[in-house]
Amino acid sequence: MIWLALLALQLPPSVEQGSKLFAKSCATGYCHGAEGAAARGPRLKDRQFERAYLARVTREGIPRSAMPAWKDRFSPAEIEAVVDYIVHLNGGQLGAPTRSEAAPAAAPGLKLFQTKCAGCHRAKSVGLAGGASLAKGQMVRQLTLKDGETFPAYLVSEGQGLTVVLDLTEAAPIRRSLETAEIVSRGPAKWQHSAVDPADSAQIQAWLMLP
Amino acid sequence: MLMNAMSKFLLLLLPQLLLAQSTNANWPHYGGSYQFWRHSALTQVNRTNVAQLTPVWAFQTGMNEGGLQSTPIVIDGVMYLSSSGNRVFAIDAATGREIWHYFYQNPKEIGVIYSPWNRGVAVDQGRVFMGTLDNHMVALDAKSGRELWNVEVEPLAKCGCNITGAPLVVKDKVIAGVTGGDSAHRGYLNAFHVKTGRLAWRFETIPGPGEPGHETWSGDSWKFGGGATWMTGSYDPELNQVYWAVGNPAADFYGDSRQGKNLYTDSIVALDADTGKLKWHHQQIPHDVWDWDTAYEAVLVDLPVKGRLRKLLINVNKGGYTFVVDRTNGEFITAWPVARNINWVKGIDESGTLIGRNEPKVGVPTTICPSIGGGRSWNHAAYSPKTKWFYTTAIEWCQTVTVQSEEPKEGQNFFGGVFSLKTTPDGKPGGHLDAYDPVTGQKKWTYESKYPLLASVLATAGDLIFTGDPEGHFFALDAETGKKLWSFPTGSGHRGSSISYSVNGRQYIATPSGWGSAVAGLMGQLWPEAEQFRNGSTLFVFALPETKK
Ligand code: HEC
Repeated sequence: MIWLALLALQLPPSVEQGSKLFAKSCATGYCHGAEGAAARGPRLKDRQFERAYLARVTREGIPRSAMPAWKDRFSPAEIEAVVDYIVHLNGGQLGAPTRSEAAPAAAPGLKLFQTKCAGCHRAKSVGLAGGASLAKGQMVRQLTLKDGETFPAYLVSEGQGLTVVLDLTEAAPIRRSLETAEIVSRGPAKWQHSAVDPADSAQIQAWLMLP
Repeated sequence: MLMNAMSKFLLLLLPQLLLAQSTNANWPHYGGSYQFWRHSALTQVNRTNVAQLTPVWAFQTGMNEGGLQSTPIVIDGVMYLSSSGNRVFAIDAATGREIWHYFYQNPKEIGVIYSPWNRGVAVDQGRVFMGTLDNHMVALDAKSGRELWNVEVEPLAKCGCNITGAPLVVKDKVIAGVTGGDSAHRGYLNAFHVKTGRLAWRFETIPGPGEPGHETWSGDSWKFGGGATWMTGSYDPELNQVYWAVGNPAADFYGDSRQGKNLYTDSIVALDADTGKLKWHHQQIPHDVWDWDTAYEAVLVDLPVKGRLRKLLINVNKGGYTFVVDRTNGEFITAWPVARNINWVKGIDESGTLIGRNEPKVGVPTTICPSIGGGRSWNHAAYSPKTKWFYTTAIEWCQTVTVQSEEPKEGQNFFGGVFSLKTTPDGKPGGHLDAYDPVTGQKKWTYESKYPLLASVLATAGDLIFTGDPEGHFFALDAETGKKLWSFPTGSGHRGSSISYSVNGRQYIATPSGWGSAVAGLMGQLWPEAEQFRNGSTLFVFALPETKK
């Protein structure tokens, strides 16, 4: 008898796995709360979600919100397990797993480009609008302003009395919008590109070659 | 003779200096003044006429997600207001007419961990400064809203942090803290040159190898130990010290892998305003395992302690205690509770040491009061030089905490456990607003509220205290008795900070209205109806009816 009762209490393995993943990644902090009871993120418990919707939002996240895409962090099977767990929280039937197109492995080169280059460069619609292309060029100038300030700068755009530049004085580029009339001279600059790790460079190039 | 003339001159100057700690026509800083009093010296609206207060204009930001949590700045008749999603508006403060707006373009994938709100801008020397959700600092031209500079503080994915708090301008630098207390991240505070956006100094809230305090972290835990600086600090011009509150260590609940006191988390740090060098620190909670997050405002007042005038700093901690220290050197003066339900510690002794720590163990569900939402949330207190009282809200609620061991992953959530809210032992969860003598902690009056009060307090020389509640009422209390004198339904809950200012001799009271935030979300666990509370994002402005000329 006791044995039977225990069996009945046992959760399907995917729900069990999902509950563990949920506790670590979704319930944690100020997010969805223990067992989906709500916090900063909405309540997930005792609601009627479409399974496909849960799977999509878990995979892709919600743009411009605090809800991240989990496809880079969870395997497709793990996403299904988390979805099973939320369905279980809603007292629902587990149903057939949604066929998730195996999430394409995010190109490591894209991440590298985003964290190390995108502040100055733009490629494949990623990075600073008007940023430097990755082609050879001679775009960096030593600007001198009316008040005597002088710094190496990459010219991003110019027009309507304004000049937008990247101030390259420090490792982190500063995008500055100057009144063109403020700029008294644009000489040759001594600025040197920081060295790019060859391994990074190879991965970034691999990403650039992707269709 | 000369001395005499000097002292006469000083005497003339004194009221001015004192008044600078209250605001007047302008509301120049996030905390009102550098001393963070949130006190207005204006008296046109006072307890005899507050009942006639009428709305004169309202302004909608159009960004309801996360509510409206900011503090407007007013300088010379122009209001600068920020909203969720990093929108900034310059508004004619007398009429509500928009002068310009600036909508920051956040990337599609923003902070994984932190949410869309922004709590304010800083305005100084013709520039408006804002930190962004993707961890940039921007400066705008105050006249046109044109972007002057924009610099990335650190890539989001690496940092696990961003900027939601208002910056503070001190002389030629703009100082801004970052979130990240619940991430595998090493906290810092940055100062940028106002003109160029270049980094002037950075204070790391966790000492690195070779620095004093590094030994308070076991192993490599210092690399990912949190210590966020997510709110706005204060400044003492005379001492040239910037005071900033440093938040909890990460992981929040799981402390086994970060043995030691974990400096400078849960501490007030005093920094040299010009160099960012540490002058002193006072740690409230060594080795925090409750997420008590010493992050809130530091209020600077000069008051007698045992007959001697002391320069004090008052800081309410999320664990429900108010700490008072000497701001010249960080010496502990006293600590007193604002919440009634506190069980994580039995008490705090005369030296400031915690007595009887109640630390939850891994895997053992433990009742802890208050809840992680705080014995008070971040919404700010006010100090009135007229009553010499300190006005703060507090919350009664508990939680069950289950600690989980966790390995840090750079830039990702690092919390170490889960919690669910629980009612208090007496079954009466709720909120209150109280007036205290800040030195003795003696309570002068209490205003009880059904729900936690999550909006900041405003005090005025008209003997008034203003705040708003989660149901959308904005109301005024008598500063001496706590009696309610006026209330207005704004239609959405209050989570921001009201202010007062004047234009052409007319006094205005402005309040953000707009429900949202993490703590507001938590409320649904104890008060299911709170889930249905309406979002919004509107600034309401009130004044007395204009008298016929
Ligand atoms: C601080 C800004 C900045 C960062 C960060 C940066 N670059 Fe550049 N890079 C520039 C500028 C500006 C130029 C254009 C130089 C010129 O035209 O004179 C440039 C040029 C280049 C070029 C052309 C080189 C040539 O020989 O002319 C390549 C390739 C390049 N960058 C790759 C990268 C990669 C890869 C990264 C990231 C790992 C990166 N850069 C990060 C600013 C930056």
